[in-house]
Amino acid sequence: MTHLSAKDVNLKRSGRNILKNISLSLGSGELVGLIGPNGAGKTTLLKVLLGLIEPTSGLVQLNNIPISKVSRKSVASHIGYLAQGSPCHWPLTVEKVVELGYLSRGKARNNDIASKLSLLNQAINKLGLSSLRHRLVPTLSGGERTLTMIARCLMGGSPLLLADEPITGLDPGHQVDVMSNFLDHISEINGVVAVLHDLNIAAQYCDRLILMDQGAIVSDGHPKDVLTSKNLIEVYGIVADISLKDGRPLVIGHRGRGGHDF
Amino acid sequence: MIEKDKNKSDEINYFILIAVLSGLVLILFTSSIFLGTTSISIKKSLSAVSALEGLYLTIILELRLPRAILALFMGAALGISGAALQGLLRNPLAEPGLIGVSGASALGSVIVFYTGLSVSYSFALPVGGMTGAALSILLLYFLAGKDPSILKLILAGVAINTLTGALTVLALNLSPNPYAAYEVFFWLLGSLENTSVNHVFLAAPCICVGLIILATTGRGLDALTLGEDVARSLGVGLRNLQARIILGTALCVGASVSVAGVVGFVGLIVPHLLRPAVGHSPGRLLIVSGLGGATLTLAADISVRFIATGQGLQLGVLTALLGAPFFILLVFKLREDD
Amino acid sequence: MRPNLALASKLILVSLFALFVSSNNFVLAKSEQKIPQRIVSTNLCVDQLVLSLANKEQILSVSYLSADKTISLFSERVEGLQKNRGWVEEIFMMRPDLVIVNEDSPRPSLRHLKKLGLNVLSLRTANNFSELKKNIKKVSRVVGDTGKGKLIISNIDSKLRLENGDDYSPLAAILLPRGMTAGEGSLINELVVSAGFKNLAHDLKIGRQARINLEEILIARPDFIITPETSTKFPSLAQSMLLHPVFEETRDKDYRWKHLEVPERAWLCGGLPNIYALDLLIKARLKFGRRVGQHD
Repeated sequence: MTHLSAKDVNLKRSGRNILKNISLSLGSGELVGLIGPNGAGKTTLLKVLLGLIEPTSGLVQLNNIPISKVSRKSVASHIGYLAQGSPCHWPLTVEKVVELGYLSRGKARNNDIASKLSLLNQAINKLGLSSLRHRLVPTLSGGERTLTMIARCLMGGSPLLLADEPITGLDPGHQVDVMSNFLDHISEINGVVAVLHDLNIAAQYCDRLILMDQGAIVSDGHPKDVLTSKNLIEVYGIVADISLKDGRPLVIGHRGRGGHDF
Repeated sequence: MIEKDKNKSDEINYFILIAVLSGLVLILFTSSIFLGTTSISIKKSLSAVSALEGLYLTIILELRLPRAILALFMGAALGISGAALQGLLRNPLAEPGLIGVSGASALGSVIVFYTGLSVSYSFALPVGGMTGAALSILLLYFLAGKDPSILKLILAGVAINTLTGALTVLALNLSPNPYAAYEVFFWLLGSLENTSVNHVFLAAPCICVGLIILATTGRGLDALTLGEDVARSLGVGLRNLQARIILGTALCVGASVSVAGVVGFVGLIVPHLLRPAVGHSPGRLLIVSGLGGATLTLAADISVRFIATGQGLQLGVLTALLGAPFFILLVFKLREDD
Repeated sequence: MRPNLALASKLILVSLFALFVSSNNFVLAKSEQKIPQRIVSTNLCVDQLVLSLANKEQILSVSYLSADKTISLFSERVEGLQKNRGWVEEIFMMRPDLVIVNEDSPRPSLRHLKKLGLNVLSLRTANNFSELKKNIKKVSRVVGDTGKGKLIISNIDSKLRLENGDDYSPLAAILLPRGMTAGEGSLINELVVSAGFKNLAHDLKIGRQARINLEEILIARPDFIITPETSTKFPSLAQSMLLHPVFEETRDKDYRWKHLEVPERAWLCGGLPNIYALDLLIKARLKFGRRVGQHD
């Protein structure tokens, strides 16, 4: 059971407040959507939660230990990370990239080649990548790349996964693919935090949404409590028609403030 | 279970590649001892070695063996440094010569040599080279940033090369040495001619340590393929990795240049040729590039003995002649990719 | 004949130096107004000739290299003279009545000097004795020397004649800084061959100046390895080759070769110092020859 929390986290960069008084708690088997306009500080927050960026003040704790005191290896065994755009600088095969996830398992790694191989096969099969196994990652489509990176995180076996815009730029088919993969493996992964831009997908798949604006958390809770007309006009500047479908909000946005439809 | 076999065959291919390259190194190393400007027949060489005496044995022990050992170590050092820097900067053009590391090593060595420091303390020479190398990598980070584009990297390299080249010539101009003008050639386009056992004792231990340090960075470099943040999220200590690569490269390149001058492009050609053979894995590229670098340098050093013997073609000239077309080819390739 | 050789050469040298010291008493030749009194020489080797042939009072300036005693025989004599670096402007401002330059040196520009209306004598680098003699005669003529040039020439000739009586010619490898050797067509080769050695460069068909490999030297088993004296004044890679440990190694073992060091100033330029170089080389050869004679 992994528990990640932030308390009163502030981050200042060259006089600007990038994160303001962020407090949150993650890790209890949920799929969390982190939403907010561009520049709200979502990516930065993920990096602070991973311990990649040191906050100016406040505390990030992994299982009640300050994350700055936890070794990188130990953090890796608890939290997986999917970077925006799934970078891959050399033309490695899907298999090789997925295998890299094994690094987060730490010391045990070289002990058992057979178990490593079976983990690899599991991860690849679960994401339906068997046919792409020997393809080079840079030649894949954006969706296939993201799936490869998710497989890589599965391979690592970290209970918590932080994903930065995993479905941005993907076609609807792949968007659904990625999101349902998160859901399918939530039992295994324990918790997923995903930065999302599509409010309807966020509402449909996530049990909890965190809405950020200008470095601060505006709202944190069930989608129907977060995606309110008030929040949407204040944060995104859009006037929205919000209807409920199966208890989850469905949002149709219009041009804000001026009141013009588009 | 086909997958399992495929995985296994990758493994087997890797070891076959290592075995083949090691074999080549062994053959070239032996040839380097038996082939020279003056032909000593194999029979004579063998009898000289077995009889443990004679002029031929002296020539082999004092002239050819040090030269072959240095070619081996220097080539391995340059090959592995090229592979490590390319992995660290995620850029196939990061070559010790191109980005100014070798030039800075030459400057460091020149300062130590011509101030007479190395006369009193011979080990000051490789230390000077290594200091120059380490400083230039730090300067490169400062100039080009952490994740440099090809353009930034090359521009930073041009800047460092120009600066260190000019300072090297200036240092030589200021020295009272009447041969300074000719010695510039040695430092800027290296040579292994007339190296002695002393050079081996100075450079080889440093290079050895550097090789070992760089050989351990494979996993980190593999992870770095996915970007610095992901690599750190996978448990890679980035600072530690960077420090090890800077130290290892400084030891390897600094020590090599301090005894043999700048031999360029080995770190470009070798990783470029071998990368596809190891599935582009930056980690696996390390050891094979070390072996490949040794192969290329030994072969080039044997060739210079037979090309234009009268004027003494310098090793650095030959590798630059071989390397420049590769560089052009790479630039074209990268342009297509963009 | 041999024992007298050393004595003879010493006498000649002493008499030559005496001549220089007493140059004040030297009576200048007939047309006094034509004899230059403000001579500027711009090249080390030209300096050496001018300093041996002209009176010091006639000389205004020599090249800065002539003050370096490792390469200049006259480093003491040039004290008090202006040192030039061969810049045309610098020379022009000295208002010389004669500028002597080396045509083979890039500086100063001969064309510019002539354009400025200066009186210029240009010499070519002497690569053998006959060229050297020509240069000596030329300089003698223009500086108004009546006897010193002839004396130097006759000294060189007599040295060369003395040498002719002996037929033992050991093999010598000449090793210069930067791993070079001096072959046919170079002054150093002329000196070494005239002193009765066989030059290894000749056997290897190496030209005037080219690289030589240490292996080639050792395999040839020379009787002598002739190098310039290494200077400890400054560290240089060029010289480090002369100190390669293989020499120490082979010297310790039973190889016959002897190391002979010649001061750079004795053979770098053609002129008076060559007599000293010849003397040194001949003495070493004869000493060695006698030793072999005893063995036989």
